[in-house]
Amino acid sequence: VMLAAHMDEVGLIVSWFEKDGLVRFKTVGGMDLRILPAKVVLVGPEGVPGVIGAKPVHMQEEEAQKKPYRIEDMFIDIGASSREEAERMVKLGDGCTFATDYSETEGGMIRAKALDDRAGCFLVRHVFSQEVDLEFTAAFTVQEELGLRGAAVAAYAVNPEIALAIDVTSASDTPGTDPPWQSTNLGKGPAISLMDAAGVYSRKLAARLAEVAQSEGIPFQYKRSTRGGTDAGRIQLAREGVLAATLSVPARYIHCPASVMSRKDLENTGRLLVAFLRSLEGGANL
Amino acid sequence: MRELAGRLVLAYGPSGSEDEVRETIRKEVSPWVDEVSQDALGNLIAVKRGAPGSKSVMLVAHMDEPGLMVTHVEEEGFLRFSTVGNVDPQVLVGTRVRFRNGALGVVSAEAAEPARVSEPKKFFIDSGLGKAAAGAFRVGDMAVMHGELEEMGNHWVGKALDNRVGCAVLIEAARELSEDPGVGNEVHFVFATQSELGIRGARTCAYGLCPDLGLAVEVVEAHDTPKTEKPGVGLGQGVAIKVKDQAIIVHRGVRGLLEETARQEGIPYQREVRDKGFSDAAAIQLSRAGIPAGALSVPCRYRLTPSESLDPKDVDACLRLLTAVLRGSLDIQGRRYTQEDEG
Repeated sequence: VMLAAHMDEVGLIVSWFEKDGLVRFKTVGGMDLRILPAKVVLVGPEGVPGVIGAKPVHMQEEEAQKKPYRIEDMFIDIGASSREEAERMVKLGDGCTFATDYSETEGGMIRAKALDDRAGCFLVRHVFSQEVDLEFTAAFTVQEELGLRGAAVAAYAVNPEIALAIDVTSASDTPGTDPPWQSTNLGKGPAISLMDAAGVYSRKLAARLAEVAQSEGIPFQYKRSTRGGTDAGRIQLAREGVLAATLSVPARYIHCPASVMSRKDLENTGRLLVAFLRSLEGGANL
Repeated sequence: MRELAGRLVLAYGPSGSEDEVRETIRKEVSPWVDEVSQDALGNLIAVKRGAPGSKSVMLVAHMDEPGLMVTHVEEEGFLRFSTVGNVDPQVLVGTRVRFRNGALGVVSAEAAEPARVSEPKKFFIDSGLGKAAAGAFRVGDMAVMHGELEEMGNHWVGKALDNRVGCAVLIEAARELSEDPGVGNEVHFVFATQSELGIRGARTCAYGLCPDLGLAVEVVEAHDTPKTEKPGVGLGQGVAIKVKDQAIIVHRGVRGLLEETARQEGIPYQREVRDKGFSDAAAIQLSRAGIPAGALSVPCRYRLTPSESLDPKDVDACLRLLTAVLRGSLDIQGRRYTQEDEG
């Protein structure tokens, strides 16, 4: 059995320095450019703070105001006043992350950057503190946001029979999205994926997850959108093929500077994960 | 063959839920092979053992068909869906679909807006159950197109001929080989899953079998109807031998083996050269350190609709070519792949 949670998060990468010390960037992983202007980011391993700038609205032509900024219209301002100064502070190729702190609300919500998929990493780590009488391998994977790359080679190395990706999935339960198109909802429990853009998952494993949830009294939901992809889609194709499924914690605004997740969903996903592994003790019998 | 194809077409098998097709095939093919097994992704592998030291060939036909997966059950009983595989909901409007348990539905579009191609949001399935649908359908239930295989003029017409006709050809080939003890080659008949989702089943299977040669048997989009943009293979003109598609340029030796055999046996064939489309052959070719692979196809009109049409004469040519290749030497070195080469 292999568990997979990806360590990477979507971010930016330094691609060029302007003469006046402003820093050009590209995106790393899928991101909506419209969320970027005016956000604070941390650049490079030292975490140099910068703010994403663009031409202010009152300086724009009327037509330009109606259009979102393109990546060419934006830059990171790290407070340098020349190319040389900027190059001393950060390096070409440095990664950037959003500068958002972790916080929790009184109502039981978690608000942070990179919950996708640090929440999954947290849950897989959590399993090691539980009593589970089962040999399994946990893979904390790289480069998921670039196309499930780390999981592909990790699964080749681990060569599992059964794999479960623990990820975070989009909760589109906000105004403007009618119920038929809400992929998951906050507070309704862990989400089981049946199919997404990366593959169609094992119905036997999905059924086992649902049975375990029911017998343990853990709420769960199916992911109703078939977009996106998880490490399970690639693990499934390793070597001679692997039975793979995905269990996710719903969160709003994933791939953004701050996403929002229900603490209860996180806890219930952990409970379901542990109960699922216990159901495999002494043989899967799928 | 007609009767076998008819039974296979009727089986329910959207990508990822091919078990009904697999069990139908397992019954049909088991008498003709030495061993039948199933792997993690649900591929069915039937083996005819070869003579010691013989070459091994992996034949693959995919079992899955495109479908619609329920993503939401509306209070009034209408089912919203996502597509499974490459199916355009627009072409299904007004047609029936069938769920695993036999329940029927009709696909239709929201009247308020003109339905846009490939945007499943504007479409729904009417199950006829009204409010009772909430108890009868669940998120994740899948439906496939509905209808039996029928004859229309000189053609067969039905849903899922892509690629149940390939499955039928493989089963028939297994039967013919079983009657011929002189065949020394080791043959793996693979009935693959999840091809419509990006040739997934064949990929892991090729890794597991690591054959000397791979051949996909399937249907290929015909381009022989009025005002077709790019004339290509046509119905009734023989088996199509793949040269190129979006995902593969076929090994020249494999093409040579197929074309040379077709000419020797007097089997009508045509070349398939396309810039679109993909086949299970592509997954085999890139497996492990690389495996020579090619494809034999039956030209098919109106693919991915409930009325896929093909000419049984082409199916016959496909089967004849396949069995002739399997009976002969699988050596691909020095094959003459053009008539010019033969002088």
